[in-house]
Amino acid sequence: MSNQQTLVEAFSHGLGIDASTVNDELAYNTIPQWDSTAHMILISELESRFDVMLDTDDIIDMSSVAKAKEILAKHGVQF
Amino acid sequence: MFFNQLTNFAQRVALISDDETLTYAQLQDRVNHWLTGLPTQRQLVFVQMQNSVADISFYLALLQGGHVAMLLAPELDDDKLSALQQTYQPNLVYRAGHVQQVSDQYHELAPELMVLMSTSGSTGSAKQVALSGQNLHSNAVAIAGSLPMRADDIALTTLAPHYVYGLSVINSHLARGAALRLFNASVMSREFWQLLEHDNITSFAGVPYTYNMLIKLGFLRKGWPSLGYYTQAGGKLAEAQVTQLAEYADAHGQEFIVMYGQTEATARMAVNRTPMAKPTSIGRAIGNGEFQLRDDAGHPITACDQQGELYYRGPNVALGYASCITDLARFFPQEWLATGDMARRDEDGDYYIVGRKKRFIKPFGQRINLQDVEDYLASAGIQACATGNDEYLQVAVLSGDAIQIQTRLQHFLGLHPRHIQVRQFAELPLSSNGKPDYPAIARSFND
Repeated sequence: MSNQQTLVEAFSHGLGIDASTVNDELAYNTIPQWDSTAHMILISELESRFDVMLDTDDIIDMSSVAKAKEILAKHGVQF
Repeated sequence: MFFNQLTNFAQRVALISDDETLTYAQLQDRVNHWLTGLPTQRQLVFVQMQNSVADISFYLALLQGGHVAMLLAPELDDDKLSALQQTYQPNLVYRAGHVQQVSDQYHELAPELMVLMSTSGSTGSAKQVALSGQNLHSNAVAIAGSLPMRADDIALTTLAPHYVYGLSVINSHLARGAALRLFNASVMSREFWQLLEHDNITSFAGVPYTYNMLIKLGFLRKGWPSLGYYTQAGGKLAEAQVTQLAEYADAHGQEFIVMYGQTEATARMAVNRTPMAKPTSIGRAIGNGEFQLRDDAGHPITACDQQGELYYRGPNVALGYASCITDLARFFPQEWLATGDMARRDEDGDYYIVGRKKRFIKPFGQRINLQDVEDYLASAGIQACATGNDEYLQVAVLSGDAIQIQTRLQHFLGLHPRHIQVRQFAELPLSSNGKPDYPAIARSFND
């Protein structure tokens, strides 16, 4: 599975939304499913799937799918 | 009453928002401004309330003017809001600084009634807990007195005010003459961490989920020198985390305080100021409150370490429930509140919640009535038995697509699907009296 597919799956499971609705523009608090509760579940999905440890700033800054890619890239995940 | 005595603290700071700082005298000016626009006849008012200067001053104006405020979540969708309007026929609807008159119908409202609050957050349930001014006042004073709260405190409003614990943060600080730093975002926002670092915040309040997030976000890795104490209520936080927070607070000259409450008791009933020694305890009753344990036959249990249903009496026990407009005409308050929680008392007199008698669960501190879940599904033609714990809502169904039902419940309850388990059963397990065997259903999920 490509990193892009893994990312889509992490968002789909983490936010409880259909994979087809996951795109780079999808942003925190713009859909009811992406609230602070789901955000923490999303974070653990990303951490376990990409085997990374995200710090406070990463978690708070992860405000969109595009931003998640940027942050994961910082941790050595290539898209 | 605390809400009539704001000017006692005239020059002290009451509210601090992103844009302005108001003294108690200035807050009363804002309240007066609202009061001049409100009718003299008692009104039933829907208030979609946030932690803002406008919303809090409007809420105080309703209390001072003797009106009745139903406090609702600002995120309540239009369908749920209009269903509630049908049921209660409010005179006025308030949202974000604007008052709209929707009905001039006269309602018979019990003289002591002041506030209506739901126990179920954003599901828009018609069932409301009715509170009097005396309820609000006595609980605000008892909370302020049970905490190391000082007049120069600045509390960060980390909880929503349409949630009774969040409202009690506002009321208790106004009763004490302390200040509130208004804030509506989550602890997951950058703003929260900036306020904690730079704005001399001395206290905040959280539900178990808040503290799980704080720990995950590294709260324990820094010192936060302005903080004095922080409270936890709204469900049971895991023992390991209580201990972790209590030890951290102790090492940093702060206090982590565990409390216990319910909407039916206007917010809070008990406080545990020594969670390091007794991490699983809710402590003792606050203010003039009193606990009692009763056995199955309803007789008081006096021996320690024996389980029974926890009862509470005190001036903060709510007037009762309402489900429609005519229910607001009169109330028949009970002296003793049956909390629906099973508890025991140790030899020092501290109480411990050991389980639930009533059928509800509290994932993320959000109370979900299992009967509501069953009723909701029944209205969609799905026969279901709902059970669960503080982690999962577990629903056994006879028919229907499990994923679809999970999605329905996700939207109805605003609960993450990860915490909703739906399973199809060939037949629902029954106990010997022919009722659903919930423990057996729960076991089949947990195996």
